[in-house]
Order: sequence, then structure tokens, then C-alpha cells
Amino acid sequence: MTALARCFRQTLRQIFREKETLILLFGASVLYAFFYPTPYLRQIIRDLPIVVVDRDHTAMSRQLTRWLDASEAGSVTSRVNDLNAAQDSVRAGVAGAVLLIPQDFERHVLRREPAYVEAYADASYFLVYSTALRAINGVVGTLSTGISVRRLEASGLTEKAALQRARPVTFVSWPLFNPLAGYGTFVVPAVFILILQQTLLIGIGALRVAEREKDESGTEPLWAILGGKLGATALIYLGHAVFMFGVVFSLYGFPMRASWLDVVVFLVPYFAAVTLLGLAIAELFDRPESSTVALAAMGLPALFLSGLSFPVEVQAAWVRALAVVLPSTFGIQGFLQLAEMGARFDQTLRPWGALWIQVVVYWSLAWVVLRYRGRSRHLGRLGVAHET
Amino acid sequence: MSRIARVMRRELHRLPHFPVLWALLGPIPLAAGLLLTGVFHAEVARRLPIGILDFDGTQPARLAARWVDAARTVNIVARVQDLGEAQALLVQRKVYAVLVIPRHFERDLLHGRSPRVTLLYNEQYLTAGNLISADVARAVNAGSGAVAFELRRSGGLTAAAAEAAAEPVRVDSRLLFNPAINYARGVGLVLVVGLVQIVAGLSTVYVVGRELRDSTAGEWLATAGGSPVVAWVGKLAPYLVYDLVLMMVLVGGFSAWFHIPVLGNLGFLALGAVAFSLATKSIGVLLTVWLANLRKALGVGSLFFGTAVAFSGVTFPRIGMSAFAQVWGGFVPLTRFMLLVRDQVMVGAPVRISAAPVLVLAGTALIAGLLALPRMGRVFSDRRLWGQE
Repeated sequence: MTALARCFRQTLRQIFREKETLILLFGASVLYAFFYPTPYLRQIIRDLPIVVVDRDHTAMSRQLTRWLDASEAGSVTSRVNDLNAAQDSVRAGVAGAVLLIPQDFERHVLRREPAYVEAYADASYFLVYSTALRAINGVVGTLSTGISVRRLEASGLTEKAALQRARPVTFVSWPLFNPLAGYGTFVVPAVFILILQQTLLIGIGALRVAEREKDESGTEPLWAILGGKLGATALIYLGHAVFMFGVVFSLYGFPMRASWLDVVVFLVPYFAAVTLLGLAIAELFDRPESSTVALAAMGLPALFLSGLSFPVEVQAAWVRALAVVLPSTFGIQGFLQLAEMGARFDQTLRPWGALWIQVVVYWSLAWVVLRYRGRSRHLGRLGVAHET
Repeated sequence: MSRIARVMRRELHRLPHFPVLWALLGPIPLAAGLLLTGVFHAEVARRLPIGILDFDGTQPARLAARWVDAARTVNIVARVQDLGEAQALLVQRKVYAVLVIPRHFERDLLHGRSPRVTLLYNEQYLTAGNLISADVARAVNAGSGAVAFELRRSGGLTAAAAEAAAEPVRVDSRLLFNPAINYARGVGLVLVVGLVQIVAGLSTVYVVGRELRDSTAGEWLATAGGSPVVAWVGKLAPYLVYDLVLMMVLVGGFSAWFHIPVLGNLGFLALGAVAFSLATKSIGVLLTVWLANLRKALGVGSLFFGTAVAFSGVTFPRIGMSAFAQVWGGFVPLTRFMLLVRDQVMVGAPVRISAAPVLVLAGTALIAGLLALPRMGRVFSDRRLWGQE
């Protein structure tokens, strides 16, 4: 036990002594936590520019235009007669969509004939087309139901009965966990978990390079060296977690639905798995800055392997097989369950268990690597072999 | 041999001594690019698992379930008995949504009391949630419309009148530029280009930063025959060419794999790629010569290039961003280059529309270059800039 405590203190001392590791393991997460969410703080698209081509010029077409302009998602930026010109503004990225109200629109409605409006939305940006269509479908749906109800009322039904008759089946969709469909709420919690992984991997890489140069681990047993490092990183990173999911989340207004106890219990194996993985791969790095260079590009694929932005069910099987290697795959899944979806802890046992399996596997790997490293260094000192 | 060729030769000979640079240039982007190809291999999200909670259990209720199961985005994988079970499946992500058919669905339908079918969907996984809710809404409303149509028809109306009575106004919506909602095009492309930008930016920081850290700038200048211009051009030119090769292999490969056609002007796109690489290189040089510290420059470079996708406005449009993020994103070369990619690959817009982003990229390269210029000469002579750990 005292060996473990010595190694724990030794690791912390090492981290604080090297300015480089201090910046990577302390500063980087704080900086990223403030910086990364800034594009998403407004959460949703409001007042998306929409061009209306009104060929009807009636009270009804003007009403539809006014409603669209008044909707939260859309904003009518211009009214033109030429559909091509309107579509050109979508092509140029000036407007997100075109709403075409054809000639005789009101006449068709009044004569009880099928009436159509046409919507052209820019699907080169997914959030643009979905926002535009939501706005347009919303106001057209309201207009359509209103017409139905008035007709049925005219035939002698009460308003309530008319409403029910207008739609034989009422469809209600109920968004769970992120009711405003906020993009920040969707992406930031997962990215924070990823940032913790990336900074920890990079920081451990730099720390190990520094340690190898100093050659101080001496005669402590290997289990204590590993345990001491796990304790030190867990302490620092649980602090980061409290800062990110407590301070930064409340500052930026992201929801946090888990109890801190659950979060800590869940994240302990996450940080342990990441630390041990970091120790294992650190041997690949010859210089303190190498881990930054090597891992900077891996954040993007790691985020998409988590299945947040594109569902895991439709990703290639070989990608799913590789994804189990990364702690972030399970860390993101379980953390979202707990903190965003309000799951009970026992409902996160799968990702939590997967993280523990990673801990066991990466402990063994780190053990082998450090043992080999220790032996070769010993031999090197005797002049039998030399490396690096 | 000309001086510039000597500098280039020196650069190539240095490469084997920097294993991590070699990894950054080759294996890492290739591996990451392959992973992204695998992530998006289905291109569109279809048959996502959902559950159904049928409180009614009658023939019409099963019909409603069939309307939904016919929607392409979803696949009913579970029939649950109560809301608790539905919640458990949802939070464990075994299903992305649960369709709830209420008790007395058949009775209310027959009595014209418009029973309420509810879709509970997981909007934490916003991509899946949005696709599913839109598709299921379409399916239920179409089914419901068909019922209304039949009711009106049996009431003696003509087909057209029945259709108009069921839904007086309809939206005929068309998705421009990416009608199938193909994620390889809509999201995959920006990730691959973002990857190229990370490699292009950080490799620049590394090769310049190593000269300073290793105090080899004097030798570098000597190889260039004492000309700083020759030294800089000879050093960066091979990497500029490499950026373009990487762009061709990764972006070209990704596009070919997913059959993404170039609807616009390929030559102009190539010109934009050169400007993109130059802008990225200039920013990399600017960071490195002013920080004059390899690690600091790599740290700031990772922050700038590593988060670029978030600020580029492809996944979350720039009009929705905070003022800070809009301004910051304006300096990111990826933002401009993706405008060009959208215009010339997906839209097929006239070249004049795309002139602006290319000019901005060239301007970024120029301004960053000018800002770096005072230091680009001093790195060869000022020994205080050398050897910083």
C-alpha cells in the first residue's frame, strides 16, 4: 500500500514538474471546454432565410407568407415572381429554401379541389433543409387543418367534432431527452467525453516520454506504478469532469441529469481504460510532442465511431469491430445515457462493463509494455543492449 | 544542382528521422479516411430499430403499425407491453423510438374521434431522431389521409374532391443538391477535407518547428545558399505538393467510393485546393514562427485545425452560430473550402459564385504570410528563437 501511495505521489510530482504535461493534462481540457461549444450555443437555427414565389396574389397566399415569416424557424427574406431567380438564391447559399404558391391556389381551395404548394429546400446542409421543411410543413399544415375545420363546421359540426373529423388519426411526435432538438445538447456532451480521452492520451504520451528520459521509477513494483498512475489521472480527470459537466454545462446551459455519484462511478473505469491505453501506446512516441502530432487527427473518426452523428446500426461491421478498441465508444454511449437521457445506473451496465473489460485488457498490455521497457533499460544500463 | 532543389533534397532526407511526421503524413490520414468510409458505408440511414406499444391490439391498430413499418427509415424490432419497457429500450438505445397506439384506437377511429398515435423518439441522437420522426409522420399522415379519403369516397365524393377534403392543402417538397439525404456527401466530405487540413497544418508546424527546436535553422539557410526565400520555398513546396496528393487520394478516393459526382468545375476546384493548402500552410507558419516553440505551436495548431469542422458551418450552419464562432470560423480555411466544395461538387453552381471563397482563401494565405514575414527572416539569425523546449 505504501508503494502505491509513493507511486501516486511520484506521478503527481512528475505531472506538476513538467510544464508540458501540466498544460496537456490540466490546461487543454479547460481551454477546449470553453472553446469547443461556442458554435452551438444558440442550439437551433432561427429565422432561416426563405424566398416566397407568390403567383397567386390572394389573401390566402399572403396569409401563408405572413405565417411563414412569423414562424420561429423561418423568415421570408424576399418575395419574387421568378422561380429560377429564387432557386438561384438557394444555389448561391443566400436562402435556405423556396416556397412556391402557384397561380389559382386560393381558387382551388375555395372550389374544394386539391391544392398544392411547392417547397425547394437546400439539402446540401442537413440542418437547413430540415429547418426549412419544418417551418413550411408547420404553417401549411395549420392552414390546411383550418380549412378542413371550417368546411366541416359549415356542414353543421361543432368545432371539436370538426377537428376530429379533419384528421381520422392524429399524429403526435414527442422528442425525448433533447426536446428543443438543440444541436449543442446533441453534440457537446459527447465531444467533452472525447476531449477528456484525447487530452489524457496525449498527456500520458508526453508524461511517459519525460519519465523515460528521467528514468526514476526505480525499484517500485509494477502494479504499484500502474496503480499510482491510475490514481493520479483519475483524481485530475474527475476534477475535469466536475468542471466540464458542472461549471461549463451550467454556464452554457446544457442539461445534466445524472447524479454526481453515478457519473463518478461510471467515469472511473473510463479514465482508467484511457490511462492504461495511453501507457501502452506511449512507447510508440519518441519525443514529448509526438503524441500530439499522432493523435490530433484521430479525434474526428473516434467521434463518428461512437454512432452519435450517424447511427451505429448502419455503419460497416468491420468499423463496429474496431470501435470496441476505443474507450470513447462506450464512454460516450454510457455518459449520454446517464447524463442526458436520465438512465438509471443499472441501465448502463453494458457500456460500463465494456469499459472494465478494456481496463483488464489494457492493464495487461501496459504491464507487458512497461515490464519489457524496464528490463531492456536495465540491460541497457549494463551495456548489453541499447535502444532509443 | 540548384539551391532550391538542394533544400528540397535536404527536406526529404530529414523525413526518415521524424517517424511521427511520417506517420502524420501517411498512415494516420489513410487509416482515419478508411474508418470514415466504413462509418458512412450505408450512405443513408435506413431500417433504424424502433419499438411499438400497442394498447389496442385490434385490426386497425395493426394496420397503423404496418403504415409505420413500411417507412424506409425504420424497422420495428420490438413489441413492448408498457411505457416502462419502452423507456428502458429507449435509454439503452436498443430502439430510437417507440410508436404508441392508444387504447380504443379502433373504436375512436370508427366513431370519428381521431385517436392520437404518439411517437416517442430519442432526440439526444438527433440524426436518427429527426430522420425517424419525419419519416414516421409522413407514413402516419399518409395512412390517415388514405382513411379520410376512403371515408369521403364512401360518402359519395369524387376521388379529387375526397382527396381535397381529406387534406385541403399539401406540400410538395423537393430536396435540392442531395435529395437522398446521403450522409457520405452531406457529412463525410467535410470530415475527410478536415482531416487533410489537420495533416497539412500540423505537418507545416512540425517541419518548421523542428528546425527551431533542433537549432538547425542555420544549416537550413546554408543549404539554401544564404537566401531565406529559397529556404522557405524549398522547404514548403514539397509539402504543398503532398497536400494536393493527399487531397486527391483521400477526397478523390472517398468521392469515387461513394460515387459523388462533381457537378461543377473540376479545374476551379483544383485551384481552390491550391489556395486552401496555401492558406493552411501560411497559418501553420504564422503560428510556428511567432510562438517559436514546437510544443506550443503544435498545441495551438491542434486547437485551430482539430476543431475546424465544428466552425466550418457544414454540420451546423454558420447563420445559427454565435458572433464569436462566426468570426473565428471565418479565419478557418476549411470553412471557405467547404463552400467551394458545396458549390462545385454538390450544386454545380456557376464559377463566379465560387470566386469569393477562393479569393478569401488566397487573401487568408496572403495576410497570414505577411504577418509571418517579419519573423520568417529572423528565424535564421535570431538564436533566441532556437532550441526552446
